[in-house]
Amino acid sequence: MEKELVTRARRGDRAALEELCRATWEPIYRFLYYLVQNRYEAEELTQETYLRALPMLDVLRVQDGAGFVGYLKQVARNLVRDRWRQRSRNAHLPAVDLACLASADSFEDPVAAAEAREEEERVRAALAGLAPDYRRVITLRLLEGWSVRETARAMDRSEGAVRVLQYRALVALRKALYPEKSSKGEGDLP
Amino acid sequence: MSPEDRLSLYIDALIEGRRPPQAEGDEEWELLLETVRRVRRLAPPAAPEPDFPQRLAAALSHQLGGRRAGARWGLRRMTVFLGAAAAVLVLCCASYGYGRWSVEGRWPWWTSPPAETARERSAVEPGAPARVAGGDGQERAAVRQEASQLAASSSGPAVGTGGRERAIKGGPEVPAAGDRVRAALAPTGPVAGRAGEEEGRRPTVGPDAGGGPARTPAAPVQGMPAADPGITLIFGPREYRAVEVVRAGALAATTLELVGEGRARGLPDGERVPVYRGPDAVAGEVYTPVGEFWIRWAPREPATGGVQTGNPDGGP
Repeated sequence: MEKELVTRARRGDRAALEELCRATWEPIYRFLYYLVQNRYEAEELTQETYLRALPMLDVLRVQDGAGFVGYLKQVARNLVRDRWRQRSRNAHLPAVDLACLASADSFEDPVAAAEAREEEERVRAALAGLAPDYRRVITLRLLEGWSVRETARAMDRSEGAVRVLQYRALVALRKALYPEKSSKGEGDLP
Repeated sequence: MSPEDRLSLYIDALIEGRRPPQAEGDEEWELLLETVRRVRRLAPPAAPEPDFPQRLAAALSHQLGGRRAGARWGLRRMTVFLGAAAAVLVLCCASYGYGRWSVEGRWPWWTSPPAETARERSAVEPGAPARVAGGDGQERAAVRQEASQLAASSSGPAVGTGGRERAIKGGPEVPAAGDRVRAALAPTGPVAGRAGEEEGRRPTVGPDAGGGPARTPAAPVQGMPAADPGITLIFGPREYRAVEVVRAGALAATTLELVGEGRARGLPDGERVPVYRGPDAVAGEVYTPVGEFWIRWAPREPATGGVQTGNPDGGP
């Protein structure tokens, strides 16, 4: 069916184009969300990916839906890479971590899935090495998605104290994850 | 804003699915944000809003349609631009070739020589190449000097009725003998007549002004240099001497009447000039036009062997 959709979309059928997008948006969104970890950015990048990919249907030899999704992922990967590189260039910074682009393909590629598992273990180990307050504030804020107010209420601290604690916890985690790039004396324990 | 607050805002944007604040920082700051994202990857991904597929399809249809229309409009603009550029290029080439080739008497196939040059070409004897006589000041000065020498020696090449020598093929440009005469008789001011015509100016007075036999100059002006007294005009049975040179504008309010054609002596042979006589002519004085000037002639002794042409009965 997707092959037929691709063929009709290639001919300029607007209904087929919309149906093709509805059938293929989810893996692209998940792929992008894994990279940016932000719903708004993931939606925006998904749309930009289609805008870049669809005009190329005429020159592509995509015959089925799987091939089309693979092509969309390649476009999305290039899009994220360009955006990160541009941001790093504007800030005179090196590219942050393009290695995660490979692990973003963990849904289909076994090698990428193994890399993703290793990455997850590294982060969990670094989290486990933090002080209890640091580990808790990161868990509540980043993994469970609590707000500052809710976190402050749960930890019996003020909101300002939670922001400071969260900052210091993440600085400590950064040192653990990037030991070669972190300077000394920043984010020391109070 | 403190780094603690900036980081908290960034995390809030990630959690709530809003656009994260764009704030530049150093490498350590970027690593801190990447640390946040790495931790967030441990959590299950946040699903988009329920109507995201519909919004995505609508946005794609709208934007792709706009891009196609933009592409069509861009093609039109490109066509118009290329057409305009080609037109400008053709005009530049035409004008360049027009001015460059006309000096050599050749014309681009897409242009035609100006009417003035065509008229001049018809005045030249058949077989002579078309050319443009010199019109700049230095050349006129040289011609004037040459004319003075010719007048002093009373000898020179034969000239035709048209006042133009036959052009020498491949040789330097030679002004017409008529131009030399007018240049010699006009000690100051620009030289009009044929030379002026060749420069694209029409003479204001004189035989080439295109008017009828009656002219409207009069009243000589003081202070004008006198003509060479050695030059004489033979008109009918009488001989005239040049009295003075007056400006054409100074002869206003007086109507001169064309009475015939005389021949100047002391100038290159064969120079014929139209002779005018005013209603208030004193003792048979006549006028001859020289470009922008007029020469007033007074009768001398009765001449012998004078040649009268044009209007024998109209002579004094």
